[in-house]
Amino acid sequence: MADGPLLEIADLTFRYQRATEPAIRNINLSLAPGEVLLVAGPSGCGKSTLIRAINGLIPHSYRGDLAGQVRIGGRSTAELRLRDLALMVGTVLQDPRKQVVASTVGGELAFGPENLGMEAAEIRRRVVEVAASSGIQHLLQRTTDALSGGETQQLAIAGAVMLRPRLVVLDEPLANLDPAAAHRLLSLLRRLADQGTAVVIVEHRVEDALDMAPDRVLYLEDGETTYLGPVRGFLEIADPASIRLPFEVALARASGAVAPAIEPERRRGSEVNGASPRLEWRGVDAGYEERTVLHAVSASLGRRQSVAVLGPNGSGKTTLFKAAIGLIPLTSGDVLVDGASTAGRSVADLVEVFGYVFQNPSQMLFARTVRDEILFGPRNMGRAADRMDALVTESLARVGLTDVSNIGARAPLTLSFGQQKRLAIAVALGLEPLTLVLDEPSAGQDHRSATAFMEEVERIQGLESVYFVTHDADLALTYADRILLMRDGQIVADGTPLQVIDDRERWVECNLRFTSLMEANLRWGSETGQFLAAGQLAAWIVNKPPEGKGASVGRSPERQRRGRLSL
Amino acid sequence: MTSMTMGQSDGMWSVSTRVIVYAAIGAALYAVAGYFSFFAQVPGTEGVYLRPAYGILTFFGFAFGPVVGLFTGLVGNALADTMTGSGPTLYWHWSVANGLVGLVAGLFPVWMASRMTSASSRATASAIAAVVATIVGFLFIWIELVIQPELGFNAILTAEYLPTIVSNSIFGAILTPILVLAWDPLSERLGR
Amino acid sequence: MRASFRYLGRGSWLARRDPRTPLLVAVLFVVGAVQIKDVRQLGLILAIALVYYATAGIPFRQVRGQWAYLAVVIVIIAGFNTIITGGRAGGFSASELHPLFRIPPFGILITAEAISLSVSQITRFLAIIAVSLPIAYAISPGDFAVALRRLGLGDRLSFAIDLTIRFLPTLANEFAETIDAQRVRGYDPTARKGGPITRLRRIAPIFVPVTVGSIAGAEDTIDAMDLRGFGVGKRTWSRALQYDRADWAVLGFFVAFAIVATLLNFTGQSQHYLLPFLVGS
Ligand SMILES: Nc1ncnc2c1ncn2[C@@H]1O[C@H](COP(=O)(O)OP(=O)(O)OP(=O)(O)O)[C@@H](O)[C@H]1O
Ligand SMILES: Nc1ncnc2c1ncn2[C@@H]1O[C@H](COP(=O)(O)OP(=O)(O)OP(=O)(O)O)[C@@H](O)[C@H]1O
Ligand SMILES: [Mg+2]
Ligand SMILES: [Mg+2]
Repeated sequence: MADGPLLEIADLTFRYQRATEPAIRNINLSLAPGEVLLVAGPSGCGKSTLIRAINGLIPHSYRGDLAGQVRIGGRSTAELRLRDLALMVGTVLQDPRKQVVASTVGGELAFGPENLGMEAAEIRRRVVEVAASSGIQHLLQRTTDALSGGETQQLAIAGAVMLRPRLVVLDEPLANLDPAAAHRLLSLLRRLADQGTAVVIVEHRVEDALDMAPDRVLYLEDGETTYLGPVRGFLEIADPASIRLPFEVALARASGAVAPAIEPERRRGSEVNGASPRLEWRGVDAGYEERTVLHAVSASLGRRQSVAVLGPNGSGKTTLFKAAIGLIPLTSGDVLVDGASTAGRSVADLVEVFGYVFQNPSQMLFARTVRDEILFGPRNMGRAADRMDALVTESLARVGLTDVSNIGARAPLTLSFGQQKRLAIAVALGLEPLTLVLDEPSAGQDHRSATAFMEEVERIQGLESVYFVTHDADLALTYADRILLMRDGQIVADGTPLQVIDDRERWVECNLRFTSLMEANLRWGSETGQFLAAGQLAAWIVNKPPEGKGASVGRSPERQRRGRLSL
Repeated sequence: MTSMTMGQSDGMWSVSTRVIVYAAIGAALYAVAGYFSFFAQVPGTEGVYLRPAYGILTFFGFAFGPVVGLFTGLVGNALADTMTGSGPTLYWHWSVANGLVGLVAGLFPVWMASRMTSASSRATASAIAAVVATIVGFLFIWIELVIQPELGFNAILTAEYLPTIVSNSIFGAILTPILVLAWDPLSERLGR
Repeated sequence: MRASFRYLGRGSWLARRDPRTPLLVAVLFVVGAVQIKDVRQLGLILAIALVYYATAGIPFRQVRGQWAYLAVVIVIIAGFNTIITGGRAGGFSASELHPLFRIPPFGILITAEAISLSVSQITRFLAIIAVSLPIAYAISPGDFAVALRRLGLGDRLSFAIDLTIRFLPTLANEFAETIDAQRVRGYDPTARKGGPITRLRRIAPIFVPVTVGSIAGAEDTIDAMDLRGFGVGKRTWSRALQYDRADWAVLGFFVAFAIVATLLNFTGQSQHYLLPFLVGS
C-alpha cells in the first residue's frame, strides 16, 4: 500500500436525494500521504459535499445518486464500513461546537476509540499523548461547554486524530476564530502533514490558509472543478471578487485598471457640530454572574460613523454592545444614548435607536412567514396598522431581498444562510432604527457575499450609523472609518484604520495579524490618506502619477490573463 | 413525510444515532425550558406547575417517534427534578408519566398517517395527539394509590391528575402545532 | 440558578467518591425516607442528610438562589397538605382531631394533626433535597455515562443520558440568547397584555427558534458521532470505576438505613406523631 495515492477520487458525481441537480460533478483528484489540499469556492459550490464523499458519510449516511469512485488506501469507501473508515479518515466539521459530544475534554478525546472497542489502557495512553501533541493538556480536566471557540476547535482536531487517521479533512475550521487562534490551528495542521498525514482543508479565508503552505488548491464552482493544481497557478487565475487574495496578486491584476474615485468623506457625512454622541460608555463595568467582563470601559461613538470593533475571542466585544442596549445590567458606570443616561430605561425603549443584529440569524427567526417576522417588532411596539405593508416592502427592499420570488410568504427558516442574515437586518430595519449594530456580519459567508453584504448595509437609506463586531480585520478596516480594539474587557485603541494599524505591537497583542493588504496600506497610507480596499488601492497604485520612472512597473500587458479570470 | 426524520427507514422502534441525538436534545430542551417559563404553579395543587414548555415533549414524540418521546419525557423530567433539587427518585412516577406521554404522542402519527395530508391537518393532528397523550400518559400517576395510599382518590384526582391534564393539554395543544408548522418545511430540506 | 449541572463540589470528599455512590445513595435514601412518618425520627434523618450534604462541599453562595426557591416550593407543598387533607392523611381518625382555627373564606379547618403532618413533610422534603442535590453538583459531568453503564444501563441509553447532560448548558445559553434577540425587537416576555391564549402563544418567539434551531443543528452532531464509529459494536468505557473502602462504608450505611426504615414501617413503629405543644393541655 506504500505506493499509490492515499486518496483517489475518480469521476465523482453526487446528487442528494431531495435535490434535482448534482451537488458535485466529475471530480477527479488524488492525494499522497503528507500532502495538503486546500479546497475553496463560493457558498453552495459543493465543498461540504466533497468532504462528505471523502469521509464516507456519502454514501453511508446521505442518500442520493452516486457515480464514480472514492478510494482510500486503494479501497472504495462505498464498500468499506463506517467503522473502518473511521480509522482512516478524521473529520472536523463546519461547526466544532456541534461536533463535541462529551461533557469533558478527556471524554471527547476518548469517544472515537471507545466506540471502536479499543482497549481501555491504550485509550488512556493515547488521550495523554494526543493532548500533549495538540497542545491541549491544560484543558484535559475542563468541561467542554466552558471552552472558548478556539479551544473547541483545537479539541475537535485532537479528537479527529485520536484514531491516527492517515487523512484528516476539515470543513471551514477558521470561521469565528481570531487571526492568532487561526494561525495556531494552521500550524498544528502543518505539523500533522509534516508527520505524513494527508490534509484536506476547506476554507473561505484563502489568504489565511495559505499560511500553512498547502501543496495544491482545488477550486470548485457550481459543483465542478475549475482549478486543481499548485497554489501559484491558482493565485494567477482566481477572481479577486470571489476570493480574498494576497495584495500582490491584486496589484499584479490591476494594471490597466481605471483610477478609483476616492472621496475624502466616503461615508455618512460629517458629524453635526456640538451634537451629543449616539452612544457613550462612561466607566462601564459589566459581565455575567460572578464574572466581570468589561472593566471601566469609556468610549463614545458618533451619530454618523461606521465603527468596527476588533479583538481576541472572549475579549468582550459582544458584551460591550449587549451592555450598551441594556441586555446586560451594568455593575458600575453609565451608558448614554444621544446624551441621555439609559439608567432605568428598558430595552424596548432603545429599539428605535438601535437595530441590533445577532451573530446567528436563526436564533431569532420564528414566524411562519417573512412578513410576520418583520412585523413582529413593529407590532410589539404598537405601530399603526396602516403602516405595516409599507414597512414590509421597504425593509425587504433595503436589504435587497425583493428579488426572491414571493418572499413575504416564505417560511424564514427555509431561506439560505445568507438570505437569513439579510432578513435579520430587514427585521431590525422594520423598527426604523437610526443605528445598526451587527455582531459578526461576515462569519460563515464567502468573500463575495461578505463584501456585498457590507456594501448593501452602507447603502441603506435613512440609516445614520453602523457599528459592527468582526474578526475579519480587512473587512473592518475597509468598511469602517473608525476602529476600536478590545482586549481583556478594555478598549486599548481607538482611531482611524490607518492609525490603529500603525502601532504594530498593539495590533499583534490583540491577536490580530498583518495581512498583505494592511502592509500595502501602511506603505501608501500617507499618500492615499485612508485605508483602501484591495482593488481600489491596487488601481490607485498603478494609476499613481509617476514620480520618477518607477511607477510604470505594473504596466506590463496582462490583459489576456485578466480576461480569463474575472467572470 | 416524517419517516425520514426517524432515522433511515429502520422502523419506529430502532435506536439509530439520529434517534439518540434527537432524544438527548429533546430531553435537554424539556429540562431547561422549565427555567425559562414565565408562569407560576397552579394555586391549591400539590406541586403541579404550569409548564408552557410542555409542548416540547409532545412535539418531540409526535415528530420523531415513540422512542424519542419516551426518552424526552422520562429523562427530561428526571433531570429537571434533579436540577431543581428534589432529585430524580422522589417523583420517579411523574417522570414515567411524562415518558408515557411522549411515547403515546409518538405512536399517534402512525395511527393517523392516512388523515395527515396537508400541513394544517398535520398541525391539527398534533394538537389532538398532545391532548390524548396527556390524558393517557398521566394515568400513571394513579400509582400513588399504591405508593402513597394516605392521599386518597379524591386528592389525587382533584389536586394532581385533573389540574395536570387540564393545564398540560392546553399548553400541549397550543405549542405542539406551532412547532410542527415551523419544523415540517425544514425537515424536508434537511433530508439525507 | 442556572439550568445545568455544575460541578461545584469538585475536589470535595463526596466528589472524590465513585460516581455511582451518590446516585445509589439518593435512591436508598428516598426508599427509606418515604417510609418514616414520625417527625422525631425524621429530624434524625434530616441531620444525617445534612451531614452527607456537607461532604459534597457545595459553596452555599452559588446555590443560595436555589435554596430560596426550594423553600418556597416546600412551604407550598406542605401548606397544600395541611389544607386539602386536613390532617386525615396522617391516619388520624376524624373524631380525634384537635381543631385549632379556620381559614376564611371557605372556613377550612386547620387541626393540630394537620400542622404536625406539615412539619414532618417539610423535614422529609428538606432531607431528600439535601441528599439529591449532590447528583447535580458533586459528580463530574463526564462520569454520568460510565456510572450509569456500570449500574447496568445499556451502552446507548447511558450515552444518551450523558449527551443530554452535555446539551444542558448549551441549550440554556441558547435560550438566554434568543430571549435577548427577541427583546431587542420589543418583545417583553413578562407582559401582562392580552387574553390567556394570546399570552400562551407569546412563548412561540422563544421556543420556536431554540427548538427548531437545535434540531437542525443536530445533523452535524449525528455526523460527528457516526464518523467516530458510534454504535457500531461493543463499546469500551475507558474510565475505570472502583469502589473504595469509603464508598463501601457509605453504601453500607445507607443500605442499613433503608432496611431499618422498612422495618420500622412494617412493624408500625413509625406512626405520625402529634407535636405535643400544638395540643397544649
Ligand atoms: N442534505 C442535502 N440535501 C439536499 N441538498 C443538499 C444537501 N446538503 C447540501 N445540499 C445542496 O448541495 C449544494 C452544495 O452544498 P454544500 O453544503 O456542499 O456547499 P458548500 O460549498 O459547503 O457551501 P458553504 O460554503 O455555504 O458551506 C447546495 O446547493 C446545497 O443546497
Ligand atoms: N452568557 C454568558 N455567561 C457567562 N460568561 C459569558 C457569557 N457570555 C460570554 N461570557 C464570557 O464573557 C467573556 C466575553 O465574552 P464576549 O462574548 O463578549 O466575547 P467576544 O469578544 O464577543 O468573543 P468572540 O469573538 O469569541 O465572539 C468571555 O470570556 C465569555 O466566555
Ligand atoms: Mg459547507
Ligand atoms: Mg462575540
